[in-house]
Amino acid sequence: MNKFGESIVPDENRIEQIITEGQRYMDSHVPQRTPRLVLLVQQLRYISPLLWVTQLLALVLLVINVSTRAVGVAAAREILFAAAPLISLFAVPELFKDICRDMSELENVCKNSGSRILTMRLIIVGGINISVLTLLTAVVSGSWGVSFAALILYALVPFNCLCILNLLAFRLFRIRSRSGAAALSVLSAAAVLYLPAQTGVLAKISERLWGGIFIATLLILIWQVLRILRAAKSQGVLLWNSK
Amino acid sequence: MELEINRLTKSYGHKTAVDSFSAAFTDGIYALLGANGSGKTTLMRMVCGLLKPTAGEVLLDGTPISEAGESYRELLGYLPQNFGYYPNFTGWDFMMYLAALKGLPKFSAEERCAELLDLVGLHGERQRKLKTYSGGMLQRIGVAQSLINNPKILILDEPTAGLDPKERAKFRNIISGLSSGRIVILSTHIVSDVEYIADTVMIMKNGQLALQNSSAHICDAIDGCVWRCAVPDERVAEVSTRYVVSNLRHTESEVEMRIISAAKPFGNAVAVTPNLEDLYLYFFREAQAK
Repeated sequence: MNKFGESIVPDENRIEQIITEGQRYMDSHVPQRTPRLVLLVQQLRYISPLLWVTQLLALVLLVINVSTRAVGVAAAREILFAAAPLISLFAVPELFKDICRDMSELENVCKNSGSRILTMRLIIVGGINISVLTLLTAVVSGSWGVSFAALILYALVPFNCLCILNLLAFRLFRIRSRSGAAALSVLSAAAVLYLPAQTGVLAKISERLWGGIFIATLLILIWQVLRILRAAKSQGVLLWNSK
Repeated sequence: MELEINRLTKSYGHKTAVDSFSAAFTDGIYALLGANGSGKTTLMRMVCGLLKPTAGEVLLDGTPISEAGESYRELLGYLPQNFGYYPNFTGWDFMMYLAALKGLPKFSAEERCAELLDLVGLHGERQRKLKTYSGGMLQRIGVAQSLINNPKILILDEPTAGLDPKERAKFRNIISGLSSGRIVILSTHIVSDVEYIADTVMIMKNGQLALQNSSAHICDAIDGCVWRCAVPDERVAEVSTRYVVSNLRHTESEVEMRIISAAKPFGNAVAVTPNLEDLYLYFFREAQAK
């Protein structure tokens, strides 16, 4: 009813239009910072299928090995030592996929900074890899009755080593192509697998020493990651300004 | 809003790509014209904050962009010269992905992406994988993504590369329509793009700002340096090696040549009004000679 007592029928289209315009005004005028969780989910959505495939492949190979090989601590360690590089094969290339796919310039001028996106990818890729490694260790441990604590180091040390090698080589050689990234990853994995296979280091080194190696490689890995994040922040963006 | 470039320099070892470049930008369309390798892309990357300058700074309303960080990027739209995409992205995924990185809420991101894809004529192709797009389509989606956040500073590096004449005309109309209330800086070596839409033309040579003026007066710099003359057919080769020739047209008995030269080349030469192409050739004659 208006002040003259006349009844007014609201125009629903007009109401909808006003709401839409109001919403648009709010969206365009209130500075938005994408919540971490939203950014994380966004990045998770676009994780390369190749990364998932390697995780699945590692799981399948492990199950086959566990069901066909003779039970033993040494065999369990060997299996996990071999599975870890496969799991982390595409971890570092996935981290720097924007550089390898020529998306870095587009991503780095966005409001959410390059270092923020890199952090999200680190959480996702690291989270997936660690979860799958834990799962594999649990499968072997559960199937063969070997202590979980005694096995997990044999998965984490090669994982750390491969990531360290890849991160180092990516920066050192300023890798910018997909083929370069894949080749580097495969070479690093082969290097990590080759040494123990040739030297029999798995059997020679005590568990305590493995613990020491794990801590040392973890510290190096953390230092490398922090260095990369700092570089991404301070350089304003391109991790290696080669062009 | 004022964007100021203050003695910006970028060196790679002994090579200086951008050399003490200074300029100020307010609302309008600025065209950065230069030959390949003149430092345009390096300059644009520094203005976007993608490259750290060796010396100098970029200021937005007096604040260095390195300090402004997120609040600067919020105002920025950028189309790089070359850009890639993730292999499984459709056109829609690409736009929505970048909209998320630009901080647009889902509601307005969907609306904005649809609107922009429609603007560049790709709405019907939005569900197709980007790897099936042609070069022109990729360039158009590149332009669309640069506009997602309704940027106040729009930087376009060779935006018309790979577009056919019809698409180039459409692009020029889009940019002209966007010019009010924002700074648009576009780099190109395609002279016709600049002639139609730029308010200000800047000529970049050897990393330096060689000339800057409004598009109406930029050619004043070479007034009296462009000549039209008729040359016998047999002398064309000789004249072409001695002078910069911007155009030649065969008539029945002679060849009509448009020559760029500070001095009058022949007695029968007549001074003509220079155009932007003449200006470009005047500044980049060495590159043309090579």
